Amino acid sequence: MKKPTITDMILLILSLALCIGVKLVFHACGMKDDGSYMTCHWAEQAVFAVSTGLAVTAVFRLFLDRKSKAGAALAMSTTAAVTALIPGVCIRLCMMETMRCHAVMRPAVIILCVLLAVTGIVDFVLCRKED
Amino acid sequence: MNLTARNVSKEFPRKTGSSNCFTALQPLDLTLEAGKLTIVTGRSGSGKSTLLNLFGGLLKPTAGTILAGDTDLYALSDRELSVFRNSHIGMIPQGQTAIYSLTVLENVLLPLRLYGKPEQQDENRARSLLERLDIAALADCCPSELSGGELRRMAIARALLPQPEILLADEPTADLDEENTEIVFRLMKQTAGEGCAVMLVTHETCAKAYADELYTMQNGKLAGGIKK
Amino acid sequence: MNLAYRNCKGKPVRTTILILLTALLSLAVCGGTLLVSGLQKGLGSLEARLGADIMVVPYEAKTKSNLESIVLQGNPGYFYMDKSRFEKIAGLDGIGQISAQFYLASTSSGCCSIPVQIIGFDPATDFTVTPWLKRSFTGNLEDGDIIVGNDLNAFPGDTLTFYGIDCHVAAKLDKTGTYYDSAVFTNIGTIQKLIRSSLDRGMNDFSRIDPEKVVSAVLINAAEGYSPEEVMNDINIHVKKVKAVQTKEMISGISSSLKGTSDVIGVLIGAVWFLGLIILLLAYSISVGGRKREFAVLRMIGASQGKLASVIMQEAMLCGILGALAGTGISLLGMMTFRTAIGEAIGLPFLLPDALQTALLALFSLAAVLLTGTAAAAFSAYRISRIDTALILRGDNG
Repeated sequence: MKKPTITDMILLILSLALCIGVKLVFHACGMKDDGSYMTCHWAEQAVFAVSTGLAVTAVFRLFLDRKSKAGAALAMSTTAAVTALIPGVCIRLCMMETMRCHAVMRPAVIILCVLLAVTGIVDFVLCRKED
Repeated sequence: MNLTARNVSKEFPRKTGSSNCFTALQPLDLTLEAGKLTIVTGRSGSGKSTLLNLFGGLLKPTAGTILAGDTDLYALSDRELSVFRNSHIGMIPQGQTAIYSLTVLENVLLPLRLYGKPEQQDENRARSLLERLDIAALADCCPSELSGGELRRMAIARALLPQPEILLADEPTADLDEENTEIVFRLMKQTAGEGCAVMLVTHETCAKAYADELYTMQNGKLAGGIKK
Repeated sequence: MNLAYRNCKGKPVRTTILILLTALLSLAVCGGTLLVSGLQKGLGSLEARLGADIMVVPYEAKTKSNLESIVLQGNPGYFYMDKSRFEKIAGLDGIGQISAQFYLASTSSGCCSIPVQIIGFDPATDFTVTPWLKRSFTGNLEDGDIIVGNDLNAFPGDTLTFYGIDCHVAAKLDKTGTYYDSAVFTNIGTIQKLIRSSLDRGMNDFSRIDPEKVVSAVLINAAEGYSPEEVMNDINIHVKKVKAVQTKEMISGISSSLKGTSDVIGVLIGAVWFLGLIILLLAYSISVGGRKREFAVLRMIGASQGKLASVIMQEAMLCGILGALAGTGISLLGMMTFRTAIGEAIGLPFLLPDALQTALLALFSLAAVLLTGTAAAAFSAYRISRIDTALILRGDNG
């Protein structure tokens, strides 16, 4: 394994932050009194699933050669961009925008995904430049 | 191009001591002739480097004029003097003088990049200079990877690259072994032979063998002028 | 090869620190400016939304606290008084415009997991809600139609169910930063139906009222020649079991706390900016001071004073542009996405400026930070361009 670059580490940290954060820190609205979930819960689950994939890819990347790393960075970048659309666009959130899923989860997911997408592109460009 | 000093002297203000100024250079007249290697020797603090900096346009004399050809150096504006120095005067100062963010080759090519763009032939010449100074293999290295002697040789190559008409070298062989010292002196002599006015400040006794004119500096006074 | 670029690239730690410092500075300046203007716009919006000189509510509403909780904080609530009081007030001297409003809070069931404030108004007499509604809805509000606030995740054409009655979303309001954003508006007929249904289902605290004989609040503008204070006192003296309050007074608390908050943020921006200037000044001074010999070498090989200064200024511009862009970008992204959470956290009306104004503010802070960075570097550039090259290059044997 080559020494990881700074963008490798940023990609890993951001995807881990997204995957852990969406469950523990900026999670969606809680369970209703009757024990059922609102739709935002499924948006949270979807983001968790995709971001787990991103985190695993970020770990695998560390062991890949430069060309494969560049490809993986580009794939992570596009996946992150699409993940930003999960809460609110692909899966509807709760009725009031003052609720947690709108006020906290969605912004946090968008910001982390944008940073991931940008870092992915930067990493891709750097990998290509080294060749 | 000749470099002529007429009645040039230099005094520095001094805060302590009996006098409030210190005379680093007594009034002197000196001409560095094109095609000749002038060597100045002398003890530390005798004023050799001051003389060199005055000739290089880096230190304004207290009195007198310094002419490079017909140009009065200190009558020029800062920009004019800088451009003049860039195109006519090569300097090798004491100590390490690398720009650490550039490679060795880029350091050597730097004088040509300040006001223009080096061409392929310039790069070829830079590489051949590095070859002659035995550091060609280090062309793409960073200065931080070089030893003191290697850095010194890099500075010599940088001063020689623009083919200056006046070359001023201050202890260019300070960190070099005997073999490399010989190489550098031969290179200086050859440069003079190509029509450059070369002034060399050195402690090395073996340098005298290469001198066309030999001066000794003592307490700011220049003595000698032995022509060989 | 650009020397300034190579210098930045050659010293990644120094460059990263300079970029981070600039980014933090622009984050603070841009974020702070947006926050202050968001608060000011929020207050302006609230003032415009209140739109009446006087508000009359039943005495039991405990006036200020209950009323402010609904009007200023947007907490759903409701209270009623007999319609005869409205008629009595309308008969008093000094009443210019007068209109009644009806409040109801939805339950957590149905559309929303939290209660929503439903406000009924009389389109024939209303002068507070309609001017705002007109911006997003020009048609007639039919029975069963509702207009939803911007924070509600419902769109024209949707159907929302309150107390078992299906309501058709006719329009969605623009963002106001006030209680309007989380409220639902409808006409008298619809709200009376909704109140009736809530009573039938036993879901209304006021069990013994007739929806057709009550109102919740009366909004009044004083007639010309009368001061709102006079009219308010007149109502409080002559009409029993009601409390009249001046809306200006109601928001005086909020506007003073907003001014306080804005002032604190303003001082903080100033302090951060000043501190940033000092730190950048030191950072450039240290960074350039440590390379005195390199600059002396440049001078020796023929760089003019101007050229030397321009190398430093280019380095500063490079770090400045990258840092300011990153900082402004992150603060814009953060403020835009977290605007609701920020508004909730501050507890004051918060409305971000529109896209053009936001872009102008961002550009302004970008320019301010860039100017600060280059000013800090200019000082070092000036000093280094006047270095004594001979002294620096001199050894000790000359």
